[in-house]
Amino acid sequence: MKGARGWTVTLIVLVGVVVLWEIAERLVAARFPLVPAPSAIGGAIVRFATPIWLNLRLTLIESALGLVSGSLLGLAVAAVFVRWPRLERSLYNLIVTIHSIPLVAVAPILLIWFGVGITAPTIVAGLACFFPMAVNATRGLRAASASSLDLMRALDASQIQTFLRVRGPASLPYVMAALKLGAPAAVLGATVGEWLGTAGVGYLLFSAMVNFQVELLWATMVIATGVALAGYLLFSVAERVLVAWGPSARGET
Amino acid sequence: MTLEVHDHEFVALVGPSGCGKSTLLRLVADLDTATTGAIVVGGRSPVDARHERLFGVVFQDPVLLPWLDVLANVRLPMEVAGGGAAAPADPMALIELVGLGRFAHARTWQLSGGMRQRAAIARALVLRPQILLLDEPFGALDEITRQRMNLELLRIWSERRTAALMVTHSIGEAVFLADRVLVMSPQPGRIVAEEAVPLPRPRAIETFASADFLECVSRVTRRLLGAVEGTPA
Repeated sequence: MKGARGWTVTLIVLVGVVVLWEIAERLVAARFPLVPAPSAIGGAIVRFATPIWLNLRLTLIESALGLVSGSLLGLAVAAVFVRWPRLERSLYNLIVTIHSIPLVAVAPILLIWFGVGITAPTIVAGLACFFPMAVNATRGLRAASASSLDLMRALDASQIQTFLRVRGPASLPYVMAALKLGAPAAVLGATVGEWLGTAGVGYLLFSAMVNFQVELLWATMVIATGVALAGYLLFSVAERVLVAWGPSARGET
Repeated sequence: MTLEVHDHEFVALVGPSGCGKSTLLRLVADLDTATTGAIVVGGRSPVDARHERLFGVVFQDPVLLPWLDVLANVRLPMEVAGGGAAAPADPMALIELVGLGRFAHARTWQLSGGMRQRAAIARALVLRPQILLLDEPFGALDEITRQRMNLELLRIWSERRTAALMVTHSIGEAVFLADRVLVMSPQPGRIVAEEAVPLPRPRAIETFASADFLECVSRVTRRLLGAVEGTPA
């Protein structure tokens, strides 16, 4: 309920801003051609629907592939860290270093390696969601309480049973949190990866900029924002369904 | 130290905090490993007893898995044992026995502390253990709930007739429940006294007021105070 009320307030504020913006534009329109009115942005979305959709489709594919591969890699690293804590001590800083590389610097390097295409943006998207998953899943796989592990031992459970029945479920809230962070990050990563490419939302933004198509630029931005937000919401809903027992479903956060 | 629990017997282990009574219970349950000495559970070592699922454990914290409902939590030992469970009890009947009949499909975090511990007791009994190991199971409950749970525990235990070994720091609780009370001393942790409890069964709320009960409590108290003499409180 709290979440729903939060979104209602957000929506009201957003609508208010858009309306004020529109009014302001009408009053002083001609003087600020670089800031299009909401109605103009909406018009541009309709007018450029086909190119936006064709480029968005590619970005969505790259984001999804990146989210899946980056998150799986993050999960694998977390599993290794939890199984061999010594490796975590020696490799954690390396992971942080990788995370600290600016994605805009990675993109041209990958472009040189893999050429123009789907590969480079997908890898950038994967990198963007790898770190949140690695960190969160490491914590999650350690989240099972000592007493619940005692219980499983007393029940003579095997390692696999303990993982499937206790460690895995206990890590789920952390994994879902990582996916909520990762989904928008993947869209951002893919867009950055496309920046110097020949297709995708990133390319569309870049070409709109150099061609001075201000309305198209804004329209693309609005759509990209919506997609990233939708990714977040998708995993929020998934979290509520899958982790019905967790703190967020109980209204504790 | 030597400690024996016979079939169908209820033994309570009392002692001040830090005397190692919980450690002793964990050794019996094979959750920790002893460096010296021998522990025999049902004629077997703790490891074998654990593999054969001869004991059920109730911890101070009920340790219910929040992603499972009450019934699934009670069934957990059966699920883990798979075909290895000889003849499990009917989990639904156990849930009725501990008084949670209406809450079989409730979420565990919707239950009160006492109800959670009831579910934990049902879970500990589901594989029909020979001995029930109880590690201060009601230590986190308020006094009234605790008294009610003690009465409930006696009722459940007398219906199931398993042996029971319970660790507690409440003398009254120990005397009320047990056939024998063992008194542990701190540093070094050893059993310094054993008191038989001659109170007749079934015991009920009236037992608390009987002269025998009070007499027994004061005897155990004297033993316990003797055991901690010389150590700062």
